[in-house]
Parts: sequence; C-alpha cells; structure tokens
Amino acid sequence: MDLVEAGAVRPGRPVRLVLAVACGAVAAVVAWVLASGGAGQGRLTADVHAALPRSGVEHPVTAVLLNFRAFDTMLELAVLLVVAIATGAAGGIGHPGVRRANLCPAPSSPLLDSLVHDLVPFALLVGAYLLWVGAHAPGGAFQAGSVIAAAGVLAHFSPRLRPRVPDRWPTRAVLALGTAAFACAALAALAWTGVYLGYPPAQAGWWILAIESGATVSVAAALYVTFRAVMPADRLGHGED
Amino acid sequence: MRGASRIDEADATGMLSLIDILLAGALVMVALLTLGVRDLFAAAVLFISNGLLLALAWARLGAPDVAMAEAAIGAGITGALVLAALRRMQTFGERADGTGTAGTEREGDRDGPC
Repeated sequence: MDLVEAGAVRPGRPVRLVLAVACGAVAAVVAWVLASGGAGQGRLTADVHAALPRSGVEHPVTAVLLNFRAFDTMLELAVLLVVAIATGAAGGIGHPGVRRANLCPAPSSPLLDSLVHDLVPFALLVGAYLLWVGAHAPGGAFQAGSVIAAAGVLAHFSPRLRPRVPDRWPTRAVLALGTAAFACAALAALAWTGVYLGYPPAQAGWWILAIESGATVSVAAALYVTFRAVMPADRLGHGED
Repeated sequence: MRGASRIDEADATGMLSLIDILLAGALVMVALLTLGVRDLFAAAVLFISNGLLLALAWARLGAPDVAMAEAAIGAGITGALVLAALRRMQTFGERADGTGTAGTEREGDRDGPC
C-alpha cells in the first residue's frame, strides 16, 4: 500500500520547483566545467594510451575499467550485489498476498514462445561475444551481463521457457561470484606483485578475462533476480520467486 | 575506435549535423514528456524511449561502450524493472481498493494487466 501511495501522490508544486532548480543548477555546473576545458582530459587520455601496452588489453575503456581503475569497478559490482540482495529480500519475504492477488494468467502465446525460443540462444551468444570482444573493442562484462539478463527477462514471459532459479545458496553464490572473483584477484595480485589489484603485466589479459567472466555471470544474475523480485508472479508461475 | 575518429573530424570542421540537433531536441522533448505525462504506463514507455535516444546520443558522441550499456541497462533492464514495478503497483492497488468501484475503473484502463 505504501507503493500505491507513493505512486498516486505527486509531489507538490514547491517540491517540484526545488527539484527543477536543483537539476538546472547541476546541468549548468556540468556545462560550465565542460565549456571551460574539463578537468585535464587531454592529459588523462595521453596517460591511458601510454600505459595501454602494460594493461593486458587493447581497448582503452576496458583497460581503465578493469586495470587502471579496477577498484571502482569492483565497488560497482558490489553495488549490484547489494541491489540484488535488497530487492530479493523485499520481494521474497514481504507481501505474501501479492502472488495470489494477481489477476490474469500468463498469456501463453505461440508467437512469444517461438520468439523466445529463437532469440534467447542468440542473445546468449551476443553476450558471450561482448565479453570476449571487450579486450580490444567496445564491450565488456556489464554490457554482456545485461544482454544475458535481458534474455532472461524475455524468457520470463514465456511460461514454458521461464528460467528456473535454483535454491538460495546456489543463487547467492552466483550473485557473489563477480565481486568475490574481483576481491580474490585483488588479494592474489597483492601477494604476487605487492600492489593491490596490480596484475603482473605479462598475464594481465588473462586476469582481466577471468574477472570479467565472473562479473558477467553475476551482473546477469543480479539484474535478472532483481527483475524477478519486482515482477509479481502470475498464476502459471507456480509461486517460485 | 572508428566512432571516435569520426567525431573528431566532425569537431574539427565545427559541424553539428542535422541528426545531432534532432537527437538533442528529441531527448529534451521526450524527457519533459516523461515527467509531465499523467498516465504512468505512458511515462514508462517514454522513459524507455528516452533511454534509447540517449544511447544513440552516446554513440554519436563517440562513446560506443556507454551507448551499449545505456541501451542494454538504461533502456532494456531498467525499462523492464519500471514496467514490473508498475504492474506490482496495480496489483497492490487492486488489493487496496478491494473489488470496489476504483478497481473496476482500473480494469477499464488500457494499461490494465489483462
């Protein structure tokens, strides 16, 4: 019921005015920073390109995300993990009535079934390709994971092909895999080279691929589990969440 | 990155193509519509459209990585989450309203779940 109230009540005019002014101010500051030359963009770009040969990958964005600023990326994965845990807990424990209260059975259309049947394997392939191609072209764990999660969301609407989510512990392990792989790699690198998250340059590409593989699985699982927790189950869903 | 070099050339000539202007205008328009429209289902659809336009804008800016993430996460998964939340709100709403008049009003809505 809280949700209904939050949705039905629009914020009053003063609140909206304050929000509009705040958003406008942020936009003005951003525009001013960009117009006044930014914060040393040219120097940072040159630094990244100079260090690229030692990063283990050829794509500068992946090099920054998985090597030069790997700590930030690890925290991003942790944020996704927290989101999945929070929504999972909220969807799994509270409001047991919602599931039964739902109104229409899942529509079982042959069109949707065949679309899901044909599209999901292709989406999985695209996800795997994005993960692999991230080393030397645009792509990477987040893009790959979200494409795979989107395949899961699509399959969710086809009762016959709906993904089965295993019991709690396997699900938790998969959700934590990316963050855990990252943290283990960070500590292993600390033991190996003496630098936290400082992979040995010769094998850095393999370290990055290993971390990204774990991250892809976790991103896909976190996004799909979050969706599943928010989406009210229908009658044909047989109650698993 | 091929995209980046193309944009560098565009910057060098100081050209802002018609597509870029239309894209920027459409982004602002759709964003305002998303905030202004009263029908929550329409707002969700406009939000997804805005995400797709934003992905195009990132691609035009020579940031294909961000464009892909925006299209997949910003438009795709977030859109699915918003629609799922909307569906859940309607479910809650019907529970809150019981089977009374408000509930039947909702049934008539074109964004009703059935």
